[in-house]
Amino acid sequence: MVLAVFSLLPLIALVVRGFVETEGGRLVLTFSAVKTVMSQSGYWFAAWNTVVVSIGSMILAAVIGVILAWCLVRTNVPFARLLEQLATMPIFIPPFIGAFAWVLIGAPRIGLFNLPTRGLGLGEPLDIYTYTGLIWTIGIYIAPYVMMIVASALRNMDPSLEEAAQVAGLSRVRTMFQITLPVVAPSILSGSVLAFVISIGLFGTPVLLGMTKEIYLVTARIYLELQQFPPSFGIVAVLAIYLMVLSVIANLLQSWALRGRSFVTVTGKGFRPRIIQLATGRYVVAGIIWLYLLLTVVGPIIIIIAASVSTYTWSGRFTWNNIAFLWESEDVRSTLWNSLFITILAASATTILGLIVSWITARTRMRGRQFLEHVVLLPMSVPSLAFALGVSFFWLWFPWSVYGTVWIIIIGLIGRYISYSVRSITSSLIQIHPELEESARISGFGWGSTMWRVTLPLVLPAIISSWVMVYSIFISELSMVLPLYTTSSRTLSILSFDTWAVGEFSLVASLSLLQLLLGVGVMWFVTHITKQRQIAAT
Amino acid sequence: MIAAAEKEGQIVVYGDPFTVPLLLKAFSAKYPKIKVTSATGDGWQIYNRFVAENAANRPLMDVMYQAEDTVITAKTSGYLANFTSSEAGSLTKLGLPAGGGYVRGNGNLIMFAYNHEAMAKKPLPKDWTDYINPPAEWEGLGAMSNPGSSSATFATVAALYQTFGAEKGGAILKGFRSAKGELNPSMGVMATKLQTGERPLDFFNITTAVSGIIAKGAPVTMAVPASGGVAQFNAIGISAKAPNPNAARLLADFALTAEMQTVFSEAGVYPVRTGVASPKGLPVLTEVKLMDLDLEKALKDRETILNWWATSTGFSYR
Repeated sequence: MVLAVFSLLPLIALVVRGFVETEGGRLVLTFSAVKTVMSQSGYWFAAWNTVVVSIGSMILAAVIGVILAWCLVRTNVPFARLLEQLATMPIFIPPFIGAFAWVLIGAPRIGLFNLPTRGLGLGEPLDIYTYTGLIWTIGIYIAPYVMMIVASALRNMDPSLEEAAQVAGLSRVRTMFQITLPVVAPSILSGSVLAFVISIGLFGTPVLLGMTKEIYLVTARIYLELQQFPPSFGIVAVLAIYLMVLSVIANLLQSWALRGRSFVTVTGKGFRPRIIQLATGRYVVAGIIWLYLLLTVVGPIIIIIAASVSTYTWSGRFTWNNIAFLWESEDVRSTLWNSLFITILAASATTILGLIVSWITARTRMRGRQFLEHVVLLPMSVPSLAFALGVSFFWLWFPWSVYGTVWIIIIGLIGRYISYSVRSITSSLIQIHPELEESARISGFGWGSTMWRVTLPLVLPAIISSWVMVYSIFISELSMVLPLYTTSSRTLSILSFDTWAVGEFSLVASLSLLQLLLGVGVMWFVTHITKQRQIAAT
Repeated sequence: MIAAAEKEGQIVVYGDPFTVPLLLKAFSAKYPKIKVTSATGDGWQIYNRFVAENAANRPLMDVMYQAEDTVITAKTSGYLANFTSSEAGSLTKLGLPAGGGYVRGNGNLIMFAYNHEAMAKKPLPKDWTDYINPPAEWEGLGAMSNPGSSSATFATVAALYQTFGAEKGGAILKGFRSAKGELNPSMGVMATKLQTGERPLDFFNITTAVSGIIAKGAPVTMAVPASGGVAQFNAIGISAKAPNPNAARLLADFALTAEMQTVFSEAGVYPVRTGVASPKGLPVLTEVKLMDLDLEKALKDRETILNWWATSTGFSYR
């Protein structure tokens, strides 16, 4: 019931609102929006562009995410823990800020990458305003989602399978391709589908990079529709349905690929994750990872820092005024409080509900559990902006309402993103053999004790990973909040967006730094606490 | 009125992200007993929110303070109460719209903007008509935003349409596009590209987006075209279903006081009250040559003008 209200009804409200029009004070059914979308080539191009860019981004994110996860979890690469934390940092950078950073790196005329080549008469080899630029910028910023899910699965994998393969004479590389990768396939697939769905729902990056060369994606079209007068909610709904169909196809393909196969790797036998010793090769691997981090994390962050201490972007003159703004401004204080309140509450509720849904779908034979899973997964496919409109429509018409309060944002975030937690936790839960829980029950443990002392500790890495993931999304979430906020519930991302809208990029950069610190600080805190608990447990 | 407004105890304002925060900060300082709530953002997006709330019979907004085209639309749709400010006698003629029913709160000026360092050895635009046959040096330098979503852009495109006519105005737009001018999501994005030099020649930009970076020393110049710039206004309307009508009137009048108009001027937007100087470093609005713009007529012709723009530039507005 709760999930229906949070996840399903806003979608129904969006679709219904799109297929009705007001005529003479009465609501009438109409298919004019469907006809418009179907008959205009611009919308078809947008759908095609979305497919191309999202598949490209998904492949890039999956390749980067899987390689990173494997290197950082299963090898003796130096400073693996630090590198893993650094590699998650892109998800703490708001997408439109990340896109702006890449404009400053890869724009033809002024991009930092192009300046030296231009000086040497070699032209401007990098152009971020292309399909490749879009795929690159989206892919590198969603790769950490794949990495987090796959890393969690790798930590839960029983290494005896790999040991058996090596005893049977398989090389390390063949073991990785024939044993390790197939065993963590659900996580890779889950991460890839998640990356695909995030990609089709992004709007900041496509608007900033795509529109410049008229590469419109569906979300950019939705963004344009919402800024029009009169608004066509019908067209918005039909475009949102496009994305829902894409997402459903991706989820069905995932289900089909995993059908009838078992991915249990954590059984009643004890194990310790096996680390592959790379000898001197570990420094080469570390070097490659550092290069990746330089290009994707360190470079853009340095650019954001440089912009935040510049009087204006690339002035060559520096000031602390933009940084001082962070503690001098009442706007920053109030929005900071709102952001933390909304994010922590919504992330915790999302993770708890996600765990419950995962457990029901993976561990029970409850009737309608598959329907429950579909209900939860459906909002994944809808861009945040469109989902938020559905939330506002629904709560506007609801007799007792949270409309205009901070709670509508929290409810919207939970409904839109609970699927992320479900995906993350389920992929870990299906790796754990039920025999562990059955043994506990046979030993006299009740349901609660089994859950508390067996299941939860085993899926704890996935739970933490899920919480950090949704926290990182919520702390910089813009499009979900945009249609739902008021002054009393304004967040840091809205303040950044308003500041960006009036051309104050240096202030936007300093606000981005604050969001980055909030993301990284909490991630470090959670990791530190987890580590302390692990030490205490041993 | 103050006592009645304080008895209501709160007010909800929808509007422009640049000026509304300034207004609310000053208002809250002066009337701390009145709790202020607001939603700011793109004009039509906020307007659509207001309409959706009214359609659901859940009116939340008291005061609309945003681009004049949205306020006119709200007025003609019957969403606004008839408002005459007690400060009306102190306003310049630019502050009072011909049709009445609402007032203008502040002005903005739209004109050419360019990065004078990046354009140092290149010809500069003097008039809109220079774009009919743009110099080769302008290729790939220009930018504009979308009149379908940006009120300031719509005002400018409508002024070109009304001043030059469909044919000559269309030639100007075609010329801009033939020089590989690009479409940006907003004037804020254009201002950022202007300061970095990525797109150093804005077809036009607005003082609110550019005056801030000029004040910080960015090598950016704004110049009035020979045929005239465009004055665009933020207007103040009071909702017909305002839950807090007295607080709404108090805030609307406060926006027009010498105190608030001076704050606006110091922040780089044009005041509409007599005796308050124009922002430093910007031309005086009443002395600037402006293109004629009949915004009410332009709104009636909105579909025609947007399609004309789309046909001339090859850009899509939705």
